[in-house]
Amino acid sequence: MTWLVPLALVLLTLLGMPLFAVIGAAALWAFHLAGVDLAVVLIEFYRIAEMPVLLAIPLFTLAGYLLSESGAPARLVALSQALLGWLPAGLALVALAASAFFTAFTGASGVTIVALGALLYPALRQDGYDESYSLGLVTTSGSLGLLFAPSLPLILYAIVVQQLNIAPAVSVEALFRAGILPGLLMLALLGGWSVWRERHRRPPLPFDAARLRRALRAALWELPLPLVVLGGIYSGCFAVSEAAAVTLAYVFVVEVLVLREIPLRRLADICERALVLVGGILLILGLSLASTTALIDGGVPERLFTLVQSQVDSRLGFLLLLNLFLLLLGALLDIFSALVLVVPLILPVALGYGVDPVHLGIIFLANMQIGYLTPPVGMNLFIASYRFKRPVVALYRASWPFLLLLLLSLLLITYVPLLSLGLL
Amino acid sequence: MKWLRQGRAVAERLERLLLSLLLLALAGLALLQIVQRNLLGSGFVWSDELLRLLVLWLCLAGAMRASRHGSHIRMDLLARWLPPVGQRVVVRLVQAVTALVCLVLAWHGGRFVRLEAEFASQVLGGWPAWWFQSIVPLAFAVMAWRAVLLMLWPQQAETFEGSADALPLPADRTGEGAP
Repeated sequence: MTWLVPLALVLLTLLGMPLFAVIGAAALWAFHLAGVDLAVVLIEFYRIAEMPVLLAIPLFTLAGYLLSESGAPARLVALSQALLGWLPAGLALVALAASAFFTAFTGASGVTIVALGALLYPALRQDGYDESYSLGLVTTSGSLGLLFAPSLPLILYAIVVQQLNIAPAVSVEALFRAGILPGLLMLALLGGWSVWRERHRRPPLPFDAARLRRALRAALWELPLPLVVLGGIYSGCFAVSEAAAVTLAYVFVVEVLVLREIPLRRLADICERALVLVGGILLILGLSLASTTALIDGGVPERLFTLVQSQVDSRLGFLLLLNLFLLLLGALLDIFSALVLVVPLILPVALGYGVDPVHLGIIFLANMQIGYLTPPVGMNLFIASYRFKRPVVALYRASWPFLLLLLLSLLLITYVPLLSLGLL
Repeated sequence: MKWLRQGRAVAERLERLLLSLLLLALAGLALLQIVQRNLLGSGFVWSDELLRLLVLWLCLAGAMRASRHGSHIRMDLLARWLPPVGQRVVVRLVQAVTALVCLVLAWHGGRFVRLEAEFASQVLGGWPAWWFQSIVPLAFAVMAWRAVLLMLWPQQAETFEGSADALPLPADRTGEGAP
């Protein structure tokens, strides 16, 4: 019976049982075995109401949803095109830059593929890029900006580490800073490869100052947004939740009141969809607080550490093993569940090997980002397959060069801690 | 079955209203707090606490809404490859277990709230804490109820055909996102 329940839960997970229910059941079962009153699961869950940073999550998410429903994606693409379109492989660079920016604001929930992919894919095809490359690019783009502020996974990682209370405090701001260089590295590798691949192609348009002016004027209202958010956070003017509130207010005023691209009656609908995502994430977070407590009470992290240490003696060896494990995890589990379930287990082990918690966070998220593209079950592959009506197998073929390049950047990020820690 | 459908329509409208109002309150209060902190030097004593309670409410309200069509985050490694009949059987099984888990959580959530009521815990400078905490067992009970409905009528669940269904896609652009 002791093993039957976990086994059944694993099977049910694979069959599609909601993860919150799996985590809740596991926590209930663990506390039941330990002879603890089961009300503790709900008491732990209630800690959701004791974390001030969580406020940022619904606010940023709604801002991202409003942006994706407005004309902002089209203006962003037009502006990037005016800025970068005259370069060789200009449109590919446009796609990369615009997607990274957009994903940072919307979280890697597939919104980028839907909102931007629909604009970029036809444009790429029309511009003569082959189908495989175009598909691979928009599929990759769905999780590309994950390491840039204010992405949700960065915030969530900091929250999980803060809750564990075993590492020196990791602030959301530190993670926002740490993600910049690794994120740029990924963009540079993908961009560099795209330029090299398309080196014989003549750029479709010469640089056109008038066109740039037009694009700038069209995007006039949205231009201050990154400054407000990123400038506010990086300069320390705003706390993260304050930046989230200001972002939402700004986006609301611009898209709903000034540009009027989102009619008021659509708002309830957008709120609803944003909150389905937020509710799902926070529910999993809350129940994982209980399951994590059960794991820690049961001494699981210590045992894991002893086990790993008896097998692996160097830091690099540990990091390599960690990457393999996380890549597999990222392909199987969505980023939010993976964060709240696995970080509490690997953080103590990583600290034992002298890995900086901020560096660990960047490694973790870089792995998860690649997991989105990893066959057979990476989520981006399925979203793109659904959105562009192509068989999933075609997307495996289309995205593997991108996957390889991201793996290369992952190796660099892992073995050069300075990339993550240099800007702290 | 008519009362069930009507009750459902009312519940859905109430839920939509609740979600929007909560979000509005959260955003408004968060902004107000910034203004107060920067212009007046201090916020209400209890605005931090209220914001945190609102986040809890939003979390559970969103979670309840996600249960309506079974759009919670999940893995569907095996179910994806099953034929439609098999998928429906799997949905029934999975929703039955989910309902059971939610029910146990609701039950112990109720005990937690009762305990807090007996201790007369207070929030927001004097209000009984259990008023605000009651959402916890209530939400899990609603989620259990919706899981039961999905168990009985699995076709109401989002299909496994393209897990993108589980994602909140902009409905108007794809024409086939979450309803």
